[in-house]
Amino acid sequence: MEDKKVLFEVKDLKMYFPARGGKTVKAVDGVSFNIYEGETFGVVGESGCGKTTVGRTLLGVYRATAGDIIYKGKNVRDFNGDDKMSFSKNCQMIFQDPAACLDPRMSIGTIVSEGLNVHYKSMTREQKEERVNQVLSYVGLTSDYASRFAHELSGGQRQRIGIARALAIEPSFIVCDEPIAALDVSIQAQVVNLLTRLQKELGLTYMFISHDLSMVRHISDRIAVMYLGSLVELGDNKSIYGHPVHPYTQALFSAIPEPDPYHSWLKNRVHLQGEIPSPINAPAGCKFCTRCPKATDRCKVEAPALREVEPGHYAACHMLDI
Amino acid sequence: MSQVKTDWINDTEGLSPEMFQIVGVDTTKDRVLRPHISYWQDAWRRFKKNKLAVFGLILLVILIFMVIFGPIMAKHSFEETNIAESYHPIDGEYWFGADKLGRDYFARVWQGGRVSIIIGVTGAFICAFVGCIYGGIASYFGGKIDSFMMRIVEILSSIPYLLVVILLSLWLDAKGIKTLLIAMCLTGWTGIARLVRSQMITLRQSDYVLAAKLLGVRPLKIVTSHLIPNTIGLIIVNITFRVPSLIFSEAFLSFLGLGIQSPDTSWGALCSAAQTVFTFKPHLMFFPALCIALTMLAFTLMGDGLRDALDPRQRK
Amino acid sequence: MSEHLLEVKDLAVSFSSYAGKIRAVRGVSFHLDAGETLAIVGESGCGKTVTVKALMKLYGNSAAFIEEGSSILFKGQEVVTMNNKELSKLRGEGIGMIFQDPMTSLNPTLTVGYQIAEGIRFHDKSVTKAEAEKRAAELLALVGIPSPEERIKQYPHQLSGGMRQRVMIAIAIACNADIIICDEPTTALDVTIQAQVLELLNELKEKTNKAFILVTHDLGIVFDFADRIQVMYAGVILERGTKYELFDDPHHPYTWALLNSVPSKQSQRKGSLYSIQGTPPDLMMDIKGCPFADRCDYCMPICKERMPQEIAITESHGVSCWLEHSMAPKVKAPAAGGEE
Repeated sequence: MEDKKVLFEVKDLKMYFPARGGKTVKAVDGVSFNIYEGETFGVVGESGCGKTTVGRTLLGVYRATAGDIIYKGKNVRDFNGDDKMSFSKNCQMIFQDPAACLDPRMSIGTIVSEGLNVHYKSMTREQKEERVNQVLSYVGLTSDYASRFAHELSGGQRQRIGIARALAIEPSFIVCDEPIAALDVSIQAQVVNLLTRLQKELGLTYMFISHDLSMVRHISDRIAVMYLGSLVELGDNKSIYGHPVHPYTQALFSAIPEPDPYHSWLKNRVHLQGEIPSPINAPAGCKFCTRCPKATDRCKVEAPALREVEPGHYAACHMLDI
Repeated sequence: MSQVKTDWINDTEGLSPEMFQIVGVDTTKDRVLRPHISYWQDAWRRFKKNKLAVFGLILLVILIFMVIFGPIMAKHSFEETNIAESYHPIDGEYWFGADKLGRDYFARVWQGGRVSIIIGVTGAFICAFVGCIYGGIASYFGGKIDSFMMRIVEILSSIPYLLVVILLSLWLDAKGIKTLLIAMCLTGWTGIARLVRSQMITLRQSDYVLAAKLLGVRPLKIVTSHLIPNTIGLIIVNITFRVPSLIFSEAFLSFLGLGIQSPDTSWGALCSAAQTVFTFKPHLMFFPALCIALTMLAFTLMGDGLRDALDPRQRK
Repeated sequence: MSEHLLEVKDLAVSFSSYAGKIRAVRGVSFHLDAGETLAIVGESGCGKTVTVKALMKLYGNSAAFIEEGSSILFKGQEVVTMNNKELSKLRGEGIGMIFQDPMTSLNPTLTVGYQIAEGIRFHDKSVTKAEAEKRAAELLALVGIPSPEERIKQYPHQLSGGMRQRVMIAIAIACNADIIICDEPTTALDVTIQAQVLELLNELKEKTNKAFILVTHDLGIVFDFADRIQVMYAGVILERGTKYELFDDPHHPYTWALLNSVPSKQSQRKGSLYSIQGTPPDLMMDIKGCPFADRCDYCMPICKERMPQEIAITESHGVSCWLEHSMAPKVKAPAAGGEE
């Protein structure tokens, strides 16, 4: 990797939740990665893989069960009050469901300026109004939207307000938690274009969590593939999509629907047996061993570690040991 | 294909070349949204559309008007006894007739209404107040404190309030408005406490509250700016439904003799007194009973309408 | 022309809401033959789900009604005027449906086996309970569910999303319907499970001579699974054709927009995706002219005046657009993944 500054260093992060009957849901089970400034870090995976939990734990919504999160060189566990304020100013999130992410009782202007009241207390009312208008124009909406209410807006517009709310306090890092899943195809394109443009103009770093593999391929610089709480493959866009090495990644990417009547992606895909296990009953050893076409006895007992297969490209699979 | 039309593309009748100049999307024209209205204005608009709810509101306004001005409008005062006019029939002089002691029944019914409605409304507000605070605290702390507080709620709500009233009136050795209110409110707040607690717990998990937390908004501010405004609708509806049930409870208790005592009167007390002469003078029970029924109907219809109007899921 | 299995002419469906009449489908005509797969593509609100539900007069609980002048002929018989008895026979035996969300489409209080057998026994009263159960187990095996005899006794919540969808497919084919409607059958599923379910549907297609109608917004699935495609917008069909025609030579600007707003392997990374401005029209209003005019980059004054008729480019490829008119300028479809 070039000399990029590390924004986040995540080491062996674990996030367990208690479930009924004394069991635990191991939503995130030992995940390590870095996020560099200015990049879009994509996280993909299917149900139960823990990608949303990783995003939320990173921002402190949940307190990690184990492992370290190091932000700009300082461990989040060692944060004092000022550090926490600075962290919440710099690290924000946008949500999946545009219908639920805005308070139905508040006007748009109030929603967008909520963060200003916390981090920019010295601003006068006029300054706050100006900032709200400025941020609305960033997301392509006119200033008269400030006096409107959530129920008057479409899904795409609400999603933009969510982005505006996050941008108002000038963050440097935004976790995008499935930001386009609930939107129509043409509106998805609008929002993704907006996010790309904002990144260029404002120098933002994104963590882009999504199950939409084509979109992630389009927007991400580096990608992490998760399965049942573990990181199975990590690397830059070209390597991962170009030559995925982990059997799960290969199967996953081969199942991306490609609009092409001449080549059936369905007929050429890698087949996986069975269903995705529940995170409560995750298999011992390699989490993927129950469905992997190449599984051996070793896989059932020993969980593979994440190793570098080529510069910048990591995978966790025993089959790759030469 | 059923219609293979290719001649249409060559049909130039009435068409000029200007009509075929590409202009693209008109970016100045934003989608005409309905004029922006706040949540409460929107709710009021939806309420107005509900004919039954508006009927309930009008009915209630009429009843309240009568309750305030009825005793003044009547030809005689509600307390003034006049044995000579005992059981005077309905006529121009005594609009609802007279009771056993010759008192103007019209005045008495509306005077009684004052008591019944005041008890109902006051009781509902007290219950709501207590319930809100209790439910709010329980949901705020969560965990063991929440469990403990909810167990108390469950125990209290399983005690029949009639028992409470009887015991309380024996203990306080007093019957009347105060005892009645205390008794009804002692267990009446449990319903709304549960409601407020579960609503707050649900709201806490919503994305916009999470967004506020991530922005660094203090917990108390989240409560006042997000949780409370989104719970008020529910509370209003609950109060609106609670009032008729309390009016009925009061009527029932007074009917049994445990509530309002003479010379004060309420609709229930009037019904109770009219019980003995029901076969001869049915109108003496009919009027207060009708008032109870109409008031309950008015509040219930309004409550239904309010609930539909304030429910954000019904938007469109 | 030989009789089609399904022939729809000028279908119009409206809903009455307290705010006015919503005209969800505004004159749609198409046909379907045995063994064919037709895909109806469009975004939310375009009327595709309403169209397919109208085929067997299924509206849920909305106040919907089919307008005068609509005609739906199934095997030559008019569906619009069918009585309840005939409709009951049609649903299940004639046309089966797979719904979008298996979580909410299966009754959580009944076993899976019961729900499959229910349809079987309804349509053939002579079948006994035991026979129906046996058939249910056979169907579960057919749709690829392991240990079917145990599964028929299980409840929906004990199955995963993919398995529930397979159960829905089993229910749809239980009574040997001639047409299977798939309403967004894989939207709620994970990518790898979606592929499994689609393979199952493909298998069914190859083994039986059933006709399929696929309703979706995912073009990747459509080009693999369907034979013919219809693009709907605001209750009307804007373009139709075989999948090859629509892929190689799309004519309508909305089709171009749909094809280009999905990033593909070839599109430039982090480049601008082609996006359509604005939002879909209000379906409560009467729309003068083409419903897509407000959002079309190639809009001309005539587009807002009159609705263009459908012209046939080939026997199977039709488009409703003023750009086809002889007086209109010739435009080329924009390149995929190009600049805005």
